[in-house]
Amino acid sequence: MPVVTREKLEALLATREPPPEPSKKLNGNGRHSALGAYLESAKDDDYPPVMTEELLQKVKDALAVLDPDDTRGGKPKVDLRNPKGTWLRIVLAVASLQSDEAREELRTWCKQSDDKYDEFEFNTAYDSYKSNHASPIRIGTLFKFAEAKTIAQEKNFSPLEILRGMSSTGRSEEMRARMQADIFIIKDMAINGQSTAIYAPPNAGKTLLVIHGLIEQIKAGVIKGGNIFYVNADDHGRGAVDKIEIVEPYGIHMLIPNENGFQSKDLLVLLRAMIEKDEARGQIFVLDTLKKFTDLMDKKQSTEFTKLAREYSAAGGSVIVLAHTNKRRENGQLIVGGTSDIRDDVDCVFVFDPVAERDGVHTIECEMRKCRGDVAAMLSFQYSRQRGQTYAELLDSVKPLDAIQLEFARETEAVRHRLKENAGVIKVIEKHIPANNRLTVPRTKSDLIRHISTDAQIGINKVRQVMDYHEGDNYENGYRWTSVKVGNERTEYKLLTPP
Amino acid sequence: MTAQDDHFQVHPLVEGCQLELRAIRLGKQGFPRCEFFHPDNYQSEQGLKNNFIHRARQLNRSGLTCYTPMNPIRADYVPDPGKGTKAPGILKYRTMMVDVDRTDKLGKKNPATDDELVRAECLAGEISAYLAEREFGLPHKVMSGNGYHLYYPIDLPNNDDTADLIESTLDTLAEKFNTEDVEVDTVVFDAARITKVIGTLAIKGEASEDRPYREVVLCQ
Repeated sequence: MPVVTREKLEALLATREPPPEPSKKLNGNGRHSALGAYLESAKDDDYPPVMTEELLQKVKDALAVLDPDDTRGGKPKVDLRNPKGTWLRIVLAVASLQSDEAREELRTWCKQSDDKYDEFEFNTAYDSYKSNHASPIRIGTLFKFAEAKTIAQEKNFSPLEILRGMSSTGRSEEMRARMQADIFIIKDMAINGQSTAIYAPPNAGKTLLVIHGLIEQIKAGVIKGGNIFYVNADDHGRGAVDKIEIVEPYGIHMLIPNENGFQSKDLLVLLRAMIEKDEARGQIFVLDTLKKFTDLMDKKQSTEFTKLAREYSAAGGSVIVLAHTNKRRENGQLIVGGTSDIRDDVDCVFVFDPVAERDGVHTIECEMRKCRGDVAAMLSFQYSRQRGQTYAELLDSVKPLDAIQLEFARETEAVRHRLKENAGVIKVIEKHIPANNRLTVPRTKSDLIRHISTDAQIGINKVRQVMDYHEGDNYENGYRWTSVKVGNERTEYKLLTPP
Repeated sequence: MTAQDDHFQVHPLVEGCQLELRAIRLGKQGFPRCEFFHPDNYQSEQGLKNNFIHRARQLNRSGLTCYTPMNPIRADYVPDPGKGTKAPGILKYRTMMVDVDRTDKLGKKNPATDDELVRAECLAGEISAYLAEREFGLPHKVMSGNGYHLYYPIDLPNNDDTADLIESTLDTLAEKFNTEDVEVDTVVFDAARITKVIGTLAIKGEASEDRPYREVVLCQ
């Protein structure tokens, strides 16, 4: 049977149809009229868009750039059979909006041409618009004309002059005033005005630690709860309610998909609108988890998201995204999930690694993998998860650990792991030690190891390793036997009694 | 040809590699039973195969469904006590499995009906024909008790790239062929993936007249 090669598999992948373009434009569905209008205006398949002040202003701005004296095609009369003249195409583009306000703006613009304006001609041209034309002119035509004209005008300047005009030199005072001080949204981890990505395996406690971190900073008076929007898209009904109850007293806004009119797909559009309307400054968004808002495996979508996050933070807002690591580790290290775009483009990356768990006490190490600003290189926390516990109790159990405490937790975990791993061999050794001591002439350490190895069919190195590792004085530290020297010849082992 | 021959025809032994038998009581509580067969402990390859199949049948008779990793296990791999093989224990990717099974809509708790099995076989046939056109060759087709498995031989290193490649391949097939009732399982891409031992009974949920337990058999 022939082996299927990598090339054949890759050729098969090439037949895959590209995923549908992510919908950037959303329906308002009447829940929020302002949002609805904004979103409607962006839709392509439901032309013409709803006329808004914003759109009307855009039309006015475009017309202001253009020349109302432009050719009518028929010189001076318009030739409706030949809609190639710029003036006629502008008229048809505006007519496509089917808006009385836009029509009047257009008329005002046309009237600026004293010698060419003709009321009858204007109305005839305007009314000739056919929305059912095979390839109808739309408002984009007007915007393209305006853009082309602007570029043409700019071309009249020297590039050097344009660059000089764009230089920021001399604006330092103004820019400094606009800058925000480096304040931590989450102490030592997330800085205001930055985008921060936090990766962790599922159930590691990233939501818990992030909510804890935010609340600590609110309590310390560093940030205001009312400026935080926590988008909890990764929780079941009860869990979501538990978390709302926790954050309510601090004024944090929690957005839950399909609750109170909020839908995940609206979020990115709203963030964009906040940037455009200059409402992003000081507003903190936590997206839990990121995969609910963008496809992390899709490079294009990931790039679009990070671009938006960058623009949002440049506009003075902050974004914290929570995401999952892969199930697989590499050299013991957690691998962050998705394409590299997210971690490449955000300002700061932390990976939460659960390093120990004993009796419900979880120890989490937070490793900084990327930073722009004075965040900590390593942080660690502990929390206690018990059955029947409320989320508030779980949150209360979170405590930061210092380096020594973390090391202790790691060692404890290593001992626990080793006890579990060696359980079978320990059991055998525990059986042989008292038997050896009952012999008239007990075996030496080497003989005892050889004897156990032969008797239990376990490798001699393994027995020696386990004998040495679990030899000590404290049962709780993972030691199971201790030894005393008898004479010059042999070591006598004694089992430790559990406390 | 015996069932033992069938099993090792689809999953040939790789010299020096271990075998793992994982017996699971499906739908019931309790840990899987993981037993390893190291070639060093047997005088011949045949002895290893005989013991493996004998033990599988023994456990199968006591109501456990028997699985084995479909890729070879390194000789020096030491599993965690009581645990099965994990990805680092796999020497290389030797098999790509296309698992065609009922969708959740039809329910997966109990054995499949004959009709459900026919639908799965039709889809497996379509996939096999499509891949044959793309020079994948004819796979080993195995009736898994409740669906069909197509096994394609591959020879790729055990790393993330291969895992991603296999996952994408299964996704591609799922996108092209999934129907409302039958689908390609897209999560069977990991190196340590287990599959049923051919010649054993797939014991899943409650058997009934129209939903019997079936023996896993090699069809082609």
